Amino acid sequence: MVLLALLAHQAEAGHPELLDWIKHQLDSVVGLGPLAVVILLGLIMLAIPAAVLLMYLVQRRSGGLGQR
Amino acid sequence: MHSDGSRSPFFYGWVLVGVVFFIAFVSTGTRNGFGVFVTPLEKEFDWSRTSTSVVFMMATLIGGLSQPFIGRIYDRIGARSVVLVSLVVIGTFTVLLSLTFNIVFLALVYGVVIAIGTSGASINIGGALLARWFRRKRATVMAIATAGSSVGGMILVPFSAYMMDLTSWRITWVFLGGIVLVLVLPLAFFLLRENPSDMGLQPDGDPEPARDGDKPRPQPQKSPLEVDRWMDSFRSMPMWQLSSAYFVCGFTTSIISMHFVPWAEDAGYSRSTAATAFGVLTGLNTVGVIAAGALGDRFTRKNVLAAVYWLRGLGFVTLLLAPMPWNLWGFAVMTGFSWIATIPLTATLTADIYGLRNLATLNGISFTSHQIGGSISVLLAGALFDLYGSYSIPFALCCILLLGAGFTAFSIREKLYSVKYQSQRPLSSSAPAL
Repeated sequence: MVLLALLAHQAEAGHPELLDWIKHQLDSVVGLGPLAVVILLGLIMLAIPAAVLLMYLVQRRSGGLGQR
Repeated sequence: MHSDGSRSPFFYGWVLVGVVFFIAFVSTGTRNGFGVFVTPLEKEFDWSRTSTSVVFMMATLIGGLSQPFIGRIYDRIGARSVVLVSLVVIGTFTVLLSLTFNIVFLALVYGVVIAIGTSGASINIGGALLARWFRRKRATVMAIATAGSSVGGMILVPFSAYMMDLTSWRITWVFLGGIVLVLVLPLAFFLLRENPSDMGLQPDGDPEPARDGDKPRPQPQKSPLEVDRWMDSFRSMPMWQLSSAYFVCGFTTSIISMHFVPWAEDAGYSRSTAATAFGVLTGLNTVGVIAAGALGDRFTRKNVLAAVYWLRGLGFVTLLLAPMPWNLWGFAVMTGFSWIATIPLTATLTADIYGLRNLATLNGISFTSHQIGGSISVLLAGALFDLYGSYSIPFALCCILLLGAGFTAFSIREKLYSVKYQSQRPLSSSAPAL
């Protein structure tokens, strides 16, 4: 177990027991089923590339991409 | 050519910030999700916790040690090739993890191949790319991109856990790999650009240099320490100062990742209170890193970096000396704010002082030093606890090291060496980039 938490705070894997505990807390607080949570988190995930693409399209329409 | 920058509501660099944010979000989130898979794998294959821990340790070590080499490749061939190949590797091999049938397979795929792939899509590479696109807001954009890794962990780890409830660990891995291949890879393929000049743009979205007849616009100068060969950076103090402070960063964060909950239980807190405090600490990462980035662009960066180390040091002092429950919550808040705030500041200072030519290599070397600090601290803290039955000595050591790291960062002669202070007035932070 010592080895699991080695290194890299920006790249560490979650501690299995801690993740399990957090999941139970989320279950009790949010009270949604797994499918609803997966859909909700999936939508949040999709929102990021959608926002980036939107920004790109706004820029393209306004001619802010240069010519090369 | 778009020459005045006034018609566009956004500088294209901000699109890249979004892309790098999303790459960090998914690549780190996918990697951090490993913890969710540990228990099901152990149950199905009857593996010990030590076996899965060794796989993760391999991944972390190989990921850390490969950073300078991947950085070197980036410095030679550019971001697009490195990032796109890395994303293909991460996505494909994460899907292949669904075929896991023994520990050697897991070790080779996750511990070696995906670890190297993750290095190529890391914030070290993304940050080096963003440094080409931004000068005045360099720390802010690196901070936003760094926050992507933190947010990715917060979203993708529970996503993996709930997906596993719905399906199985094999299908969950297929989903995670699919996210990389279907969402991230096309986005990076279509939108990643190497340099603003490739698109007829200037860093920060500045107008082009004035033509004949106009008053010439002052151009940014080179830093006095800008190097052609990465090895030459070690002939000057700032690289040693930044790397040694980053070593302390790794030392003092990894020790908490491993020993915070056991310490809290020893101190009389329940496991759930300790885990909640750790959750608070993790949740404050994003706020802390973005604040540090914004402050780093507004003030002298080395001072902000020093303040971050001292804030974390104060957190450890609180942990050791404050009464209950202030020691727990005070530590969680102060350390949470400083947890990943060092990353954009260290990377930005490296870019400002040593230039962009070898930036990814130098960032990779600093990161390796960070990882070495982390691995030493976890083992040392465990050994000292076994010897003395208390965490007081390792945590006191953290206080001393953080005090030193703060002074080390504070003593960097940024105004003498940083390109930020070589430039003329028009490149000061007063002009908006948007």
